[in-house]
Amino acid sequence: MRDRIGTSIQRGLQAWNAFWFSPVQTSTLALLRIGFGLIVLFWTISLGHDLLSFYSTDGIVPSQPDFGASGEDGSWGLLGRFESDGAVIALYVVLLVAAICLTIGLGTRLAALLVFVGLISFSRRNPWVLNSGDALLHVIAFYFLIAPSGAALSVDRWLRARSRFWEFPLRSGWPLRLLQVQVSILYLTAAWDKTAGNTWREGSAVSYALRIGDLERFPVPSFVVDSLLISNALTYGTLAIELSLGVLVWNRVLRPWVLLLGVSLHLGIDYAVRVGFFSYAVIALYLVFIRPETMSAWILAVRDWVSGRLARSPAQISAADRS
Amino acid sequence: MQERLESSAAGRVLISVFLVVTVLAVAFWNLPPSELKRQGLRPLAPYVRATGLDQNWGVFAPNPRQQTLEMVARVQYADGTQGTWRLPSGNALFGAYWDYRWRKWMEWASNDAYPQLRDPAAQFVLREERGAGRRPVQVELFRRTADLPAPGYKPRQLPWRSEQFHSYIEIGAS
Repeated sequence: MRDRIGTSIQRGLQAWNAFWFSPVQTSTLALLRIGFGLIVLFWTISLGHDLLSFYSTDGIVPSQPDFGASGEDGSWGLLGRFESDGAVIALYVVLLVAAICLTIGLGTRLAALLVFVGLISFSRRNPWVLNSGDALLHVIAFYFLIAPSGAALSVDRWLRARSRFWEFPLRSGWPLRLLQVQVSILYLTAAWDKTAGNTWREGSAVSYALRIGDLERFPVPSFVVDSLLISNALTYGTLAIELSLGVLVWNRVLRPWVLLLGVSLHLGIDYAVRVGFFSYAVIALYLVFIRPETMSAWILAVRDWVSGRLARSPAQISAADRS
Repeated sequence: MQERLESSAAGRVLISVFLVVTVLAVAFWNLPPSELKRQGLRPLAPYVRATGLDQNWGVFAPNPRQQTLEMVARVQYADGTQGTWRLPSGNALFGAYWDYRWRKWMEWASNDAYPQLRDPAAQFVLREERGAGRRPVQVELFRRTADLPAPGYKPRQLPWRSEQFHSYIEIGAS
C-alpha cells in the first residue's frame, strides 16, 4: 500500500515537472514579446491623444481612487503618489520607450518591468476609461516579468551571442505554461459569465451587441443583425468557440482549428465593435499555443525567404515570380 | 539567475509554490460570485491586485447592453446663450483606437451608481469651454438612450429619450 502511494506521488511529481519545467525553445516567447511590445507601443501612442484629459488633476478624474476606502487592498500605482502633469508625461514617455525596447529586446527584463509599472499605473489612476482588453495588457505584462522573453530574437541576444542569433536557447517552460493556463481561464470565464444572461441563452445577444450605436465601428449588414436565425447561430457559435478555446485548445489535433475560430471571432469583433486593442492582445496571446519547435521552423523559413529575396537582384526576383 | 533557480531542486519548489499560488489566485478571481470565491480571495486578492492579475472577462455578459447611449453636456454661458459639448469621437478606422476610452468613461459617468464621476465631468467641460475662450457658468449633463428591440423587430432602434442627470454651477458665476 505504502509502495503504491509512493509510486503515485512520484508519478505525480514527474507529471508536474514534465508539464511545467520541461525545457522548450524560446522562439514562441520571443515572437509573443515582439507582438505584445508592438501592441503596447500602439496602445501608448493612442493614449497620447487624451493623456491629460484622462490623467491630469484637471482631467475627467482628478485623482486616483482611494483603494483603501474601497477595500481594494494591494492596488498601487505611481500616479497616485505623483499627480502632477509632469509626472504623467514622464511616465508616458517611459512607457513609450520601454515598449520600443521590449519590442526589439533591448534590456528586455528592465523594459518588461517598466512596461508593467507604466500599464498598472495608468490603469489604477483612471480605471474608468479602460476595458477588459486594457486589463489584459497589464495581465500579460506581469507574465513578461517572469518570462525569459529576451533570450531569442532580441538586441540582447545579438549583443551576447551574435554568431548564434538565429538559435532559440532552451529554457524551462513554466512561463509559457502559465500564459496557456491564463488563456484557458479567460475563455472559460467568458463563456460561464454569458450563460447567466437570458439573451445568450435565447440566442439574441450578438444581435444586440452589434446594434449598440455608441460601440458600433464598421457597419454590419442588416440581414445579419435583423435575422433571428443568424443571430441564434452567431450567439451560440460565440459560446461554442469560447468554450472550445477554454478546453479543446489543449488537444493538439483540434488546437489549430480552435485557434483559427478564435482569430476569426476576434477579427469579427474588431471590425464591428469599438473594443480598442482587445482583439489584438488576445490574438497575440494565442501564440503561446504554437509549439516552440514549430515556431522556430517558421521563423527560420521566413528568415531564409527574406534573405533569399535580398540576395537576388530585382530583375532576378521578377523573373522567378513570372515563372 | 532564473536559470540557476530552475535547475536546482529548491528553486523548483519555490517556483512551484509561486505557480500554485498564481493559478489559484487567478482561478478564484474568475469564479462566479460565491462563498468559495469570497473565502478563497480573502488572502489572495491583495496579491492579485498588486500583480495586476485582476481581470474581468464579462464582455457583453451576462447580457449585452440593450440600449444605445449618449452623454451630452448643455453649457450655459455668462451672456445667456447656450452651447452643447459632446464626447470626443474619432473615425472608424483609426479613431476607434482612442475614442473607445471616452465611450467607456461615458458608460460609468452616466451610470447612477457612480455619482462621484459627475462633478469632475462637469468641471472638465467648463475648463474645455474656458480653454476655447468662452465664459461658461453652468453645465447640465444629459443621458440620451434609445432602446434596442429584439432582433427582427422594426424599427431596429426605438426613439431617443433624454434625461438630465446632473447640474453643476460654477462657483462665483453670476
